[in-house]
Amino acid sequence: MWLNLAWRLFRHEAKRGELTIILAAIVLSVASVLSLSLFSERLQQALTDKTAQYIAADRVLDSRKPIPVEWRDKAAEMGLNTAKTVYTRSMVFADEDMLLVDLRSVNENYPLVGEVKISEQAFGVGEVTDELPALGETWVESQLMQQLGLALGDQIYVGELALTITKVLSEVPDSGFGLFGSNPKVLMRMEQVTETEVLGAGSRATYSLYLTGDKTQLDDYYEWLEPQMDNELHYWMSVEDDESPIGRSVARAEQYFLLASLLAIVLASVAIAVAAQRYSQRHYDPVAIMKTLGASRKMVQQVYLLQIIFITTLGILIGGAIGFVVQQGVVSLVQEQVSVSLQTWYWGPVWISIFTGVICALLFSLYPLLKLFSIPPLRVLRKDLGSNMSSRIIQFAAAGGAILILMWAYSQNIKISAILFSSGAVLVAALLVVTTGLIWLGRRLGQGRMGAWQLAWARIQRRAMDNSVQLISFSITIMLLLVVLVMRNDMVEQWRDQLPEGTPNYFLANITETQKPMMEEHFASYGVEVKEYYPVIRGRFVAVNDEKISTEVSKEEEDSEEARNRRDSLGREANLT
Amino acid sequence: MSKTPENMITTKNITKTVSTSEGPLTILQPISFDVKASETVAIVGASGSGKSTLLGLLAGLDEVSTGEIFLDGKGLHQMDEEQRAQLRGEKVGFIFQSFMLVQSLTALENIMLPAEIRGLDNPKKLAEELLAKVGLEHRGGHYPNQLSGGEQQRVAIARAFITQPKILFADEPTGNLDAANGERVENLLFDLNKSADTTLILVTHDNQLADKCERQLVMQAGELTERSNDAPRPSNGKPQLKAI
Repeated sequence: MWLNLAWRLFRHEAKRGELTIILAAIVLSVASVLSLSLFSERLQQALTDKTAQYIAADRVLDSRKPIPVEWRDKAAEMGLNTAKTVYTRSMVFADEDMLLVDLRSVNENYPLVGEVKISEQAFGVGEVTDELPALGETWVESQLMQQLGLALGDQIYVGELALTITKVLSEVPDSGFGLFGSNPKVLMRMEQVTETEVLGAGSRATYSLYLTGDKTQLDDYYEWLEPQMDNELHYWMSVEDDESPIGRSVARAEQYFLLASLLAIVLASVAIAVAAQRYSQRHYDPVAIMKTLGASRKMVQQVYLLQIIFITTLGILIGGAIGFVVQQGVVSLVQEQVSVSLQTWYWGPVWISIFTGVICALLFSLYPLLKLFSIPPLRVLRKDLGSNMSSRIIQFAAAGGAILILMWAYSQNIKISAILFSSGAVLVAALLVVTTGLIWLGRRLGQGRMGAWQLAWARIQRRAMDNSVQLISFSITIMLLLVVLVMRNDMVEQWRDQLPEGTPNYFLANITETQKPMMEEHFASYGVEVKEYYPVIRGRFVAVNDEKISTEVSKEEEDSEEARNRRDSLGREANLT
Repeated sequence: MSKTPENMITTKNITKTVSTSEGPLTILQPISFDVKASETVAIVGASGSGKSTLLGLLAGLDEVSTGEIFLDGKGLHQMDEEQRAQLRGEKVGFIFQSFMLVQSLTALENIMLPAEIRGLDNPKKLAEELLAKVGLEHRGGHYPNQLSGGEQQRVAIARAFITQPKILFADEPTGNLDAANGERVENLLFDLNKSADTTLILVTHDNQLADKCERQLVMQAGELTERSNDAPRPSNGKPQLKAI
């Protein structure tokens, strides 16, 4: 019965426009959160996809020793796609010449993510291929062909194995981020790696197991694998959103945007609270009538809670649709400049926007609803009777709780949320004192004068708390708006200030002497002046001011990020210019 | 005084006192009376005499400060609000001066409301029958603000009778209506009341309306007296009153 009644009330009231404000407020909060979070999710996903190409898989297990067969079998058994590679540095020989190369031996599934590109001539434009070198064949990079004077069809020796060059290798997905002077790559089949005899005890080789699959499957596999891994030998690599620096930046930007959208949420919540208050007051009589006609308190609660659920559901549906269209519009505007995932739907943003809509609708309408439920039936005879609820603790607790929960959900950081929230609470308390004082002062100043002034102040003072709450809500909303604007400008300014004057926007690396005239000509035709070239050479620091640099690090030092960075920069080969 | 079912209402020394900023204020002095089943009783009196307070107590909308009230043999004074709401839903119908229709429901839906709350079968059919009885079958889909005052009160009367209550409380049912509409509503109310054999408690200023009732109780400064029907009207001098 009460379901029918609730639905009928909802239908009629929606038709008569009595729910417009409360509905619009929910729509606003859901639309703003969904559009922002869906857009940033798509941005994040595009980055993740791109990053996955750099490691040619979703996850990679690197090992200094051959990876046990059962580890790969287990991965296959768990439904994961696998590929194997062995990577080492070795000398290759062609006639009397030799060169140090990065030797990659891969099995037939390589690469799991990304593309291998080849060409028919050195320094030619690479084309994507699904194939790999056949047994007895190899694909090598142009640099090797140039330095050893080789052509397609020539033979090179990798250890004891002779391989025929059949293609020029232009690109492999997991070629790494090194810009300068890496050794040319040689790609061959893994089945023949033992024939080369370059791998033996103590060889510096990396054995890799590439994995792709669902996140859950990958997580399950890692859970199985982790106890068996040896930290000295094995290294697990993933492209989880939060692990790459760019991914972290996008995640931070998302948090900033979501916190900024808290502005819209606070505004929408104030609108919901005000609209719910009006809605509640308009329903004092219907509730008194229903109770008079025999409705129990529980029945009244069910009818009105269902109404709120209907409004919230409708608000979420409309808000969701608007939010989706808005973010799709933004994507179509920026997709020329920014890489955005083609997948248009992600459940994460959908859940967070539904959560926002529900929290706003329920917690901000809780107090007006509780007041409504407490309307006595006697109101049918005495219209002056209202709710007997006088304490506003529930209202403040519900509104504060809603804001805190949303802050936490958006920032994913309880500490920041607690700081923001508690400073907000102090601000609210201070503003409450100020507004109450102002209202009192206005009333005092108006005393003794009849007319509009006194009537207005008397009316304001009669509802001093309601008016104070509304005043504070709008003050905080305006303050948040200003903070967001200042922060936005401040962030961009700070970032710019970190760069020296005249810092170039783009760099080109690995330019050979022979390429310089062509390059200068190319840039000149576009009116770009190339000022300077910087020679780069790879080297290793052995001493600073006659003090020998130790590349050994203690366990304690290992734990410090600073120590790790120091070791990285001093202990390894560096690009010197 | 007895509380046998032949008495639809029995009150024993009921009083109502409220607290004010100037201390407790007694609105009703100790009152005791009975109303028999199917009887029609008018409660008359000046504004502020306590008529509506008494109506609220008799209908179980409010609680007595002291004393006992039995409605169809059930002790209202022993019940909490939830129990009183259940009893109202089962046995009581209401008509108010300001009609008290739910503005966001149509006329038909307003009539259905008590039947739905009580969980009766086919409330829509019952409501349509009553809408026809009050002559508004063509206005069922209209909202209260699309109806005249007289029409709204006819809808309220139909709503009051849909659950076939044993007792009907009417608070100034013609107070907001012009003479023509008032008379129509009066006739409708008494006709339906007669055919449904309902006990009627009617609060009114209108002597003419009060005269249509079998008994008249007069409230004066919180005290209740009974007026015989052949007593002179207040406009012709002081009525002949009998303390109860």
